[in-house]
Amino acid sequence: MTKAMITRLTRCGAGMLAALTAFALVSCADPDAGRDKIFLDLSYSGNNWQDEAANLALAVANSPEYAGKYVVKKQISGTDIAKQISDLQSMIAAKAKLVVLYPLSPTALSPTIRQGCERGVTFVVYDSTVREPCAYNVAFITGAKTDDPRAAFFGAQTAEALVGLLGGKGKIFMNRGVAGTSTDQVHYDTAKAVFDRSPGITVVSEYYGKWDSAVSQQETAKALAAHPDVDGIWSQDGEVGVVKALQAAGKRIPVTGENGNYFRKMLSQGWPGVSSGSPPAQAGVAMRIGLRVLTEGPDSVPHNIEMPLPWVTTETAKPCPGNEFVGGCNFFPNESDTLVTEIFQRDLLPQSSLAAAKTGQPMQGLAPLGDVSAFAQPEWRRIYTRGRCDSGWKEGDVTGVQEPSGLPGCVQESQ
Amino acid sequence: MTLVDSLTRRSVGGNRESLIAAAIFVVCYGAVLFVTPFERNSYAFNNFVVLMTPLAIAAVGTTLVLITGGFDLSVAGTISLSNVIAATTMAEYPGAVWLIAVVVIAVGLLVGLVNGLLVVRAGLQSLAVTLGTFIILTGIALIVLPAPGGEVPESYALALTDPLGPVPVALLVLLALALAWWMFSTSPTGVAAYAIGADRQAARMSGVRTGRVEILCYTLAGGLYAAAGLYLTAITASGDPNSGRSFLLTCFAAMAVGLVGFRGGSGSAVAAMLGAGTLIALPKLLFAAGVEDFWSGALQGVVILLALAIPFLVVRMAQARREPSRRRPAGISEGRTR
Amino acid sequence: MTSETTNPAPASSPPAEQPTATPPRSQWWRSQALVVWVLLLLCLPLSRLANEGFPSVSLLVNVAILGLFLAVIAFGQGLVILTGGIDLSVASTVALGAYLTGSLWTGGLPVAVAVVAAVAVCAAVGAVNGLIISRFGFPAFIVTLAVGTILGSVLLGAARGAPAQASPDSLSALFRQDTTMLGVPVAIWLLVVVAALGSFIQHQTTLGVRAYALGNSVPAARNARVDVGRTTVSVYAVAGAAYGLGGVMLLGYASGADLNVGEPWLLPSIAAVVVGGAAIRGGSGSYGGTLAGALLLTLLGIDISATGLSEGYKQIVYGAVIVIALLGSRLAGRRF
Repeated sequence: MTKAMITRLTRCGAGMLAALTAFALVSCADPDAGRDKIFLDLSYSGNNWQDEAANLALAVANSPEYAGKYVVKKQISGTDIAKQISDLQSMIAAKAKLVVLYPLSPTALSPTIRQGCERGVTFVVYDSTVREPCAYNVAFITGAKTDDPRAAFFGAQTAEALVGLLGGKGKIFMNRGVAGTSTDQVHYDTAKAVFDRSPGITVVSEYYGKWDSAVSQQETAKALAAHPDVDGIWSQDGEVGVVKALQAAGKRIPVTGENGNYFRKMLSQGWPGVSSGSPPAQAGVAMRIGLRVLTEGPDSVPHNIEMPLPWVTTETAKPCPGNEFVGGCNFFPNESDTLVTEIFQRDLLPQSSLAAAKTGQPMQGLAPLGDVSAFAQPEWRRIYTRGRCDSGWKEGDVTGVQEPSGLPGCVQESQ
Repeated sequence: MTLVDSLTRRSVGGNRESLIAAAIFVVCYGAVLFVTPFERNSYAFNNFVVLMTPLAIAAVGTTLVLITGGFDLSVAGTISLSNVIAATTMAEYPGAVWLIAVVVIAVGLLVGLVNGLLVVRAGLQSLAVTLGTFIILTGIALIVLPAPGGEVPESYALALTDPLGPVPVALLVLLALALAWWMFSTSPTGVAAYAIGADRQAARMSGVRTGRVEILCYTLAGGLYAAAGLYLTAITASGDPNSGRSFLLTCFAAMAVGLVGFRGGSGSAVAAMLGAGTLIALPKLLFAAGVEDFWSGALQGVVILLALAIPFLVVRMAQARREPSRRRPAGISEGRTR
Repeated sequence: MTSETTNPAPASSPPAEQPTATPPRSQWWRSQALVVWVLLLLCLPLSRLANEGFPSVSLLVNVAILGLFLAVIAFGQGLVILTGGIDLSVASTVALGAYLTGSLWTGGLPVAVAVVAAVAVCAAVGAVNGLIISRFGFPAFIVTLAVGTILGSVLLGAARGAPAQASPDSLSALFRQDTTMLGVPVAIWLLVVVAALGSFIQHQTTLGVRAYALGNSVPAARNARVDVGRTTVSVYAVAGAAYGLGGVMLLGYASGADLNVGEPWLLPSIAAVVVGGAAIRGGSGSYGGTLAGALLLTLLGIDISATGLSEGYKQIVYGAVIVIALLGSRLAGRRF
């Protein structure tokens, strides 16, 4: 009986090993031979923004211009930092050429990214930034308005717009993102700096909507219960929930936020406010940047790229008639409320489409990216994304080259 | 005593579980090595061991509490807190790095002590009260460091993450921990801890100072979580107030794969450490097999369930061998879960 | 922790940490649940400390509406905890309920049918939990964790391209504050219905009674001819249905939901149940207590937000409140 049991156990174990081997051998028959490997690594997932961004990146990599040379695979690392580190290490070990990723932390991945750079892997990071110098950052966090390159920072610009809409006085809420992230911190710090300078504006409540429309709605409802006489709300992502909470309470006050579809719909119907914020197009642009580095070398693009700030106001909100961005339209009335609308960037990702954002359908007509040096982040904003100033620069208040003036940043050492 | 008998007897020290957990880990990691030629070098091995160490250390802590029948959810909070304290103070005093490490562990011990007192002296349910302390610790971490930052001297980070010759420092740490566990579990205190988890009334009646032993377990666990946080700090070379969050559920998953008894009174922390290793190896295995996208998460859940099935199968086979005529009803057969 | 080889006595006197079992129904006024209700009522005027405008009608309305979701979800968690288990698949099941309702409705089904179908599927997921737990005897903690992980991943894959679902208009209308019946928002009526239904199921139905029996002692329950397996499956199925229903409500409230809609509800659901006086080991606790716990936590959440403290301090206060509520329940329990 003992022997029978041991035989059974051995058979079980052998069976498992055989299954795993078969599994592995199947993947060993490599259909990807000859093509370089690109990985798209997500941390957060499950919401429209992440989904659209990932689809756009895949649409770029799978486009006819690149599909023959590169094979792209998507990984979801989840919100466990050890898992993202492990996945990146696996990708490095698998001889990836390019990793486009959404980092879970600006600092925790630095040792791993450095290891990868030393082994010839290119890292391009979108929306959230990393401090490790060898990686490329493509982010809108410090970006400036498309038509006014001096007007920088999503936080500061939307704050100024709100102050303007309120005529310089009133009580406001601030709807923040996820506590303990640098993205939230940068938006908040730059916005607060503007509000602090406006003596007529009082921030009566700050809460964390966690960049989620449902949570933002609940938090805004709670804040409204405490301060029913609020005059305006500054919001990061989740502004759709903010507007819904206001509508439920029967209030129509100025709201500034990011680019949820419902928010822009309301703007076009006369709701006072401004829609700016994080474009999912960043991921597509990041992929294009990465591909350019692969084809033309690491110095063909700047290491710090700013995505221009989208800017849609009550006056300029315009529904798109079909599925394409035509005639200056900026949202899709028939799509879901939380569709994130900025899937297109005039200069960096003109070939984008709704189909690409929703399904990852390969983009057509992708010519190689032109000169992007116009989108390089100016040195004086470096500290927000890299944690320190470039050599030859030191920390100080920046005046004269950006609006709003006097925000902390980097100044040249000679000054 | 036959091999089967020793395998199927309910072993308090958890030797059976350690063997099975080791087997699972060897199969998983072996498969990774088999399938991925790039993983077959000492550099990759070092990366792997380093990455599994925080989870392994933390899993020892939660196991320590679980064998007494308690659930310690504060693991995530203590790790975040120790991470942010380490990252902020090491940035300011890079010369005193090791002193800071000692202080951080002291903080962890203190947190564990508080947990222990609340559970034992105040008589609060462990799962509930450690949930509360977890939230409090997260709040403190946010106050110490509101957004990711801080910095860690390279000497500290490398000391813990670099190999010593061919042997990863991390591996030495884990071996030392395994040895410490073995000594603890065979000591009178360790045996008392198992007894408390198995049947608290009986333990008390046979003279075990249940209160003291339990408080000790929670305190030591707190220290272990702080150590895990210190290790995480070395890996990420920075501080993040949210860094511990994922440990909340992965620790318990590691214990499950390590076959630690969730009802208390049995299991081995060594097995839990091996379970942690399996959990870290699993994504690598799936990655190597070309599993993409969302399948990775789904398959990990399946593997956890499969791991649970193994002792069940072993026990069933043994029972079938012993009493083939008696039909034993399956089901919740061993009393309550806590 | 007794194994089958020891004397399978019926529920012996509980070990020191476990709060006293629920007293007989005729003496409901002696229960710890009452303490929590008293705490809740005390905290209402105390909200003034948080904000001068409190307490106000809008505060009460908000507590009721936001507490509704927690009340439903905590009901499911409470039933599971009653049997001595715990359910970690809450987040994914809530998301499943919201997602299915939205996608079925968008696909053309009538609202009512979509809701019923979504809740039924969620109940099925719960049944799977219960099946694995009862059939194999695996710990509930891990089974529900694994099943929740699998479900979450499958949802991610199934929802590709449209992780956020829109809500049927009729469903959203239910949660608008201006939709009233007899002058009171419909959502508050829903809370009343949930309270009544929850109490009924937990305390008056055979399922509820059997759940208590399981939580107290499985061998004793088996001796009393309770079908342990079937009860377990039913309990988890009902819990799954409750989470799904919570997801449907969240979909309506936010008129839309994505796959992360369930994330914020797992830990609060456990907190509400234990603050309400239930024993984690099972066998004692009442839905009245859970409901009070849910409302108290919601009220305190609103108050803490209103104080304008920074996030770190808010968390500290929230966690401290849970610990204090537990201490309070314990002290109250001791006196009886």
